[in-house]
Amino acid sequence: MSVNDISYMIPIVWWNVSLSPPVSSLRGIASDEKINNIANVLQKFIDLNYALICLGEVSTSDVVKLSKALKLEEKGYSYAEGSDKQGRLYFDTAVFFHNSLEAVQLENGRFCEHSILTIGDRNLKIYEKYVFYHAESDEVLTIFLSHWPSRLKDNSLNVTEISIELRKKVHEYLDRNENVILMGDYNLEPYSTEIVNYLNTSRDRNYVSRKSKVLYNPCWNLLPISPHNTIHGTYAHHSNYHDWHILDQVMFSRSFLSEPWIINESLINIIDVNNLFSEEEYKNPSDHWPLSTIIFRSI
Amino acid sequence: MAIINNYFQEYLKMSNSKFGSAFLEGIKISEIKQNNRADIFSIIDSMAKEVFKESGNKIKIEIVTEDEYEKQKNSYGLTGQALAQMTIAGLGLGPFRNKVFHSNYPEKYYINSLSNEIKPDHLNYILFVKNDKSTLSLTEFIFDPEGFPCRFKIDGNMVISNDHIALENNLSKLLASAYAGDCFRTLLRD
Repeated sequence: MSVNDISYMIPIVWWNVSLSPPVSSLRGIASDEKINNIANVLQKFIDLNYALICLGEVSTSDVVKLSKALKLEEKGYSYAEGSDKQGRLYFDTAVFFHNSLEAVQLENGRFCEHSILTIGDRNLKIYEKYVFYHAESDEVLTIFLSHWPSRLKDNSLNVTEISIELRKKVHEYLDRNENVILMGDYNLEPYSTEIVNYLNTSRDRNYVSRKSKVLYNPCWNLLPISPHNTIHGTYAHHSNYHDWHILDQVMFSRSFLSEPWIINESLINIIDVNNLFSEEEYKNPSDHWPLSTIIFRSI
Repeated sequence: MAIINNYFQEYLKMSNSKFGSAFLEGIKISEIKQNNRADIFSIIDSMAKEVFKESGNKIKIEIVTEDEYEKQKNSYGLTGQALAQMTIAGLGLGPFRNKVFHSNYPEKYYINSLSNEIKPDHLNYILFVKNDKSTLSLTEFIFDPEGFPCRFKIDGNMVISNDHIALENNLSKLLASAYAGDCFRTLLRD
């Protein structure tokens, strides 16, 4: 398939905007200044024609404020939000989407459906699911957004359970060869046991092409650190002894690896937000960097 | 149990054999499954008793297999559309006036593996509420092959219960949901 055969492209970005971290005292209290700074970046994404702008760490009030600040409707965009409180658990994603896509109402009557795993008294988020219909191509995209527990505490057992349960859910869709995209802040590297073994992902697209139940994870390509690039991951943690970086990730079902779909790994990037602006002093308003991808489709 | 203990006494002899250890593992898992399923049905039974009492002996909660539900549906001639409304999202299902589904719960489904007539355990059930006149489905209830984790939907969102305490907590949330409340009020008004 050549570039001339491409009929549609769907640029997608995931960004943990850190407006409402998953702690009750910090929900929905982001300052107007921070909201506006995030909105300025999102405006750039809209200008760049991102069809799906997936956000993490947002509350309902954040989404409403961002929508107003951006005048989404006037720009041909709508939003679907999954923000919800279940006990002490906060679901915290939302998607701004271009009107070339239609959000599908789900079984719970909303445009986002979630799942909870309860172990004893502890509740864990498994996913927030959004479904979009692309009328021009008559395709349905199912997107699972995730925000897994932080690595700053030992959550390894919980994350193992979460990854296994997410895999079970995703496999229901893979069995039907549906178009599935996983994105989010997994607080894990692409090579972690939970991502590779329990979630069932691979960096080898030829292997994934032969295995219907394995997801393709192109984010391995983001692991090498270029000496010319100051951004080494989508999140950086600085401690007394060493700094570490981690990658938010995007993973695709096998259906995207063959015609009519095209995924080009070179177009999966961490966006240097600061470079979107001409001001030299502009500073990323979030503690995460956005992760961008583009999927193409022929007629 | 004596037979099972004898199997385990032979464990060391068999542990070096690939299929022997798998055989013993199967027996062990079967016991875990049996205990888990008994535990799950016991929790639902306790919930049903408490709701029956709190409702002034008006509302019963029961659980039947999907197959049993299908049979009941056919025997009452429910339409396909009604069934679709029922199963969508486990959100439940619209009132089924004057139709009462009979359940053999719980003995039939978890004791049968030790009875003479061995049947595979069912995994897909319907949890429903009823009074003397009407029946309303609360949710689909899905067992793992080992019992736990079991899963069902609350207001269309899936909850997965990994153990006894988790299931008690999630069933409480189900009862406290807006949809379940609608069902209870409907049945109390009947």
